[in-house]
Amino acid sequence: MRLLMRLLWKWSQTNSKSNSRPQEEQQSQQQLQSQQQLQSQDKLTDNYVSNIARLQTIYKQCSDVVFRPFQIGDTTTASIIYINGLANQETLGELVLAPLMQGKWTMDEGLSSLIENALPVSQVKLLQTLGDCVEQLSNGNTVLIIEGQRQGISIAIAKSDKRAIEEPQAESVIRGPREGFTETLTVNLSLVRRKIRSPLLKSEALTVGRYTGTEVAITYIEGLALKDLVKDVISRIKRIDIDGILETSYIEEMIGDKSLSPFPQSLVTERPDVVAANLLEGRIAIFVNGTPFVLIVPINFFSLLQSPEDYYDRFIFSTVTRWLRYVFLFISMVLPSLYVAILSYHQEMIPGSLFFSIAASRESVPFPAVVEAFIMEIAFEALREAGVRLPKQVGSAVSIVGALVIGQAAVAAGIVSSPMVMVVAITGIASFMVPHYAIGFSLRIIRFPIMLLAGVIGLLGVIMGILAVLIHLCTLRSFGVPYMSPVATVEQKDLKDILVRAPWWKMNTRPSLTINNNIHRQPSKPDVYDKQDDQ
Amino acid sequence: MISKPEAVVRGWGVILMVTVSACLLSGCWDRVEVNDLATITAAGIDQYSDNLIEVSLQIYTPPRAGSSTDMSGSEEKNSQNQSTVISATGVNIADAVSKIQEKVPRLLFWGQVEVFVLGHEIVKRNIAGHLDYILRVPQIRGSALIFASRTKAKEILALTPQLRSNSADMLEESNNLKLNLTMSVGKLNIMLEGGNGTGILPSVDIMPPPEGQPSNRRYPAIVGCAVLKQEKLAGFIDEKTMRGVMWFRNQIDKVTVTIAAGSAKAPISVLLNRGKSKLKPRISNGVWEVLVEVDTREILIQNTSRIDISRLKGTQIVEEKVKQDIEKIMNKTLSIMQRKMNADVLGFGEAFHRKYPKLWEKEKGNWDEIFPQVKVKYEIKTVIINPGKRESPTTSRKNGEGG
Repeated sequence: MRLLMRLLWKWSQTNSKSNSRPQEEQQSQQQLQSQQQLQSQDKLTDNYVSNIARLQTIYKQCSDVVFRPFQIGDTTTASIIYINGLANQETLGELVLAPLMQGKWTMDEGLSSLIENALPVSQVKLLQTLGDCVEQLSNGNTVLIIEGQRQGISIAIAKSDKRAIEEPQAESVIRGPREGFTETLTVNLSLVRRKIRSPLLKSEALTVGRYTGTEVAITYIEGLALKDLVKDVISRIKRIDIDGILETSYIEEMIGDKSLSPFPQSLVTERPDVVAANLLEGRIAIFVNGTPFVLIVPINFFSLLQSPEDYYDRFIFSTVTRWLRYVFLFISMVLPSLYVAILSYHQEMIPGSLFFSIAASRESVPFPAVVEAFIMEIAFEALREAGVRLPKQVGSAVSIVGALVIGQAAVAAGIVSSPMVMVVAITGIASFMVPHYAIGFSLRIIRFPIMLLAGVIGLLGVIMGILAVLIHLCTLRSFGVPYMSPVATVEQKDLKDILVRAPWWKMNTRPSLTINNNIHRQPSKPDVYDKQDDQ
Repeated sequence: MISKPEAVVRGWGVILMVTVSACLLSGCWDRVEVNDLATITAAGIDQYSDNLIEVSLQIYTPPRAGSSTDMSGSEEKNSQNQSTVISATGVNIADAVSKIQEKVPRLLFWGQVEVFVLGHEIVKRNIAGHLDYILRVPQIRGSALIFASRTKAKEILALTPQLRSNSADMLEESNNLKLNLTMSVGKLNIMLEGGNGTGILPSVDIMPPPEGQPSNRRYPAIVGCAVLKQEKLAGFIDEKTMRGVMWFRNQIDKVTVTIAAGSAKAPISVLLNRGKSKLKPRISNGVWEVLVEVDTREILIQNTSRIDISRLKGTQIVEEKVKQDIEKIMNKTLSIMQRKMNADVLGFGEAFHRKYPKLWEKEKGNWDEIFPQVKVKYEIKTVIINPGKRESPTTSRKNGEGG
């Protein structure tokens, strides 16, 4: 105990030292300031040369920024500035350079006349400051600076290299739409807009990231999503102050209620139909430019156990699949621990003949059951990770070698017992049954401490582990919604989509926790349908 | 100095440290690997001398290490005898077992023991003291079966039957077939406690090897039962009487009854599909009575007579005969129990106890006097529910007596 106190005391000493650092902080503040995107309020002047020179200093050593001077109607000097690859050069020549250079335009009538007559481009904007110019260039637009004019012109002829809409790799379904999101925000938003055509589908745009300036869109259906919730999400995202956002996971971790928990508190999907379904249940989707993954909040534990296909298959089949999934969820969490606990402490619990066959196969195994379990589980995780990271062709080779080595050679050599291999294999399959990769991963992680507990105090440890996980799950919240709802705070109406998958004509109400008062999906007259069936 | 969140983190850190070290430093102290267990599959108890008993344990021996590399050969090895019998003497079971433990390099494990065999001499003397160990050791299951041997228990354990891996396995399987009376340790205890030490155990004997086979092909088989009175042997009964006891105790299952019917007295066999019995005790005018209600359903499996079972009359003749046969068996059993042994293994005492609990408390000391006087009535119902695949009797229907 004294040793412990001393350790604590030393610890507090080192901590208190670190408080004396106001200077450091000031310095880091300054450094952060310099990382800010250029928000220059410097006005463009009628001095063409100075305008161009200032822009050139901003973009010095940027080899991809092109300054192209030319003459409008042989009299006026002008320049177009664009970023190579972002602007559509063919259209630029055809619609901007050609008409301006060949026409007999004079600048007497001002810019607006020029825009009205000489620029056959639909989206044109006048720019007042250098900051505006930089922003437009980053968006891929072309900026036109003309001699003697106080304003620049932004011409929207951006070219975007888009990936085609493909079937999502991680969430494939047998029945259901096969389109998936791409890396382009506008395309992604349009995919959702095609499914929900009501003008009540709102999407608010934000920009996050000091360097990246990533576009983030928060999408919801007005009247279904709670107003406070939308406000909360927006304010949480606005509070993010980081150099760059490259993937949705950055936002997920920054705005999650408890990011230390192994359980994800938001749903990640690359399917427009999943986003649409969740928007219709009053949830909020967060799109990030540059990634096909969309974040959905708030969720509960059970959202992670539902596959989009549950809603497309016949309800009886979906219900049974769900039960199977719940069973295997439990198995993937505790099966190795149960095996270890029973084999090391409660041998009398195994039926006689099974016990003898396990004993026979374990006879030559040199390790205790718990060590054996750890070896196999870690080997399995390694195989899985190796299979994911390697290119597809090599990946299958890895899994074949792994299966042969671990499944056969290890058993034959007497290093592991064959029941253990079976347990690990079943657990592995069980963890892949969970439709969302993220939750499968957290269950696999949790398995290890429970296995350790099982090895230390047997079934008691397993129960302690399960209880600890349950308590943790019950304390979690995702944007104010209890994580285990509607089971841990029982909402009878919502159980129709948790314990079973009710037929669509019985899905009269939306989940109550995320909804304003607007809970009805359809008029609740299921009798009508029944009667029609009977006649 | 220290801001609040840091203190909280520190608190959690201390808790985490204490829990993790409590888990890891204690080091799984009562963990036992399967590899370190000597699993007892059966135990036998014999009288060694006047004061000493001999305990024999049949211990499962897993196939030798390394044999699993030889995949094809291992199966053959598995079919061979996988158990060893180790014996030691002592003043009681615990003493003898502790001596066996000294000989065995693995921890004796009682959790999988399925069969106890009590030697002939043990059953003759008194089994109460031995049962105490069996019932007291926590690892031993109450569902373990217990048998009385007509010879030395050690010999039975050492036998290797042909159809099963060891003798314990064989005896255990005979329980599942439900052809014989079975008794578990727990049930026997209840029976002995409720009935002043009266009980019944299936008895095993060693059968000679099939003709032309060497003597090591001898095998154990259940031959009737041993009836206990005051926790010691009152006598053995044969299979037929055992069946009678099973009828009374509602343990009858899958039994073939063969009767002779018709003018030619040709045998007809029915297989019991379902049989239930119920004891209904009654005390009127100081006379203790038991009404035995038996309800059975039979399947005709062989008809060598000319009775046409497809006619109602034919069925009735067979049903009546079966009924008489069952009653005869039960009556004979009853007279053996009441007159010869005066041992209530039929469950009468329990039935009276349930119905007249207060009276039973007063009279249970006199049960030995009352039991032989108990009057028994039978109400047996037999229904042939299935005449089998074949409809007609052996010979042509013209000469059929039933129709």
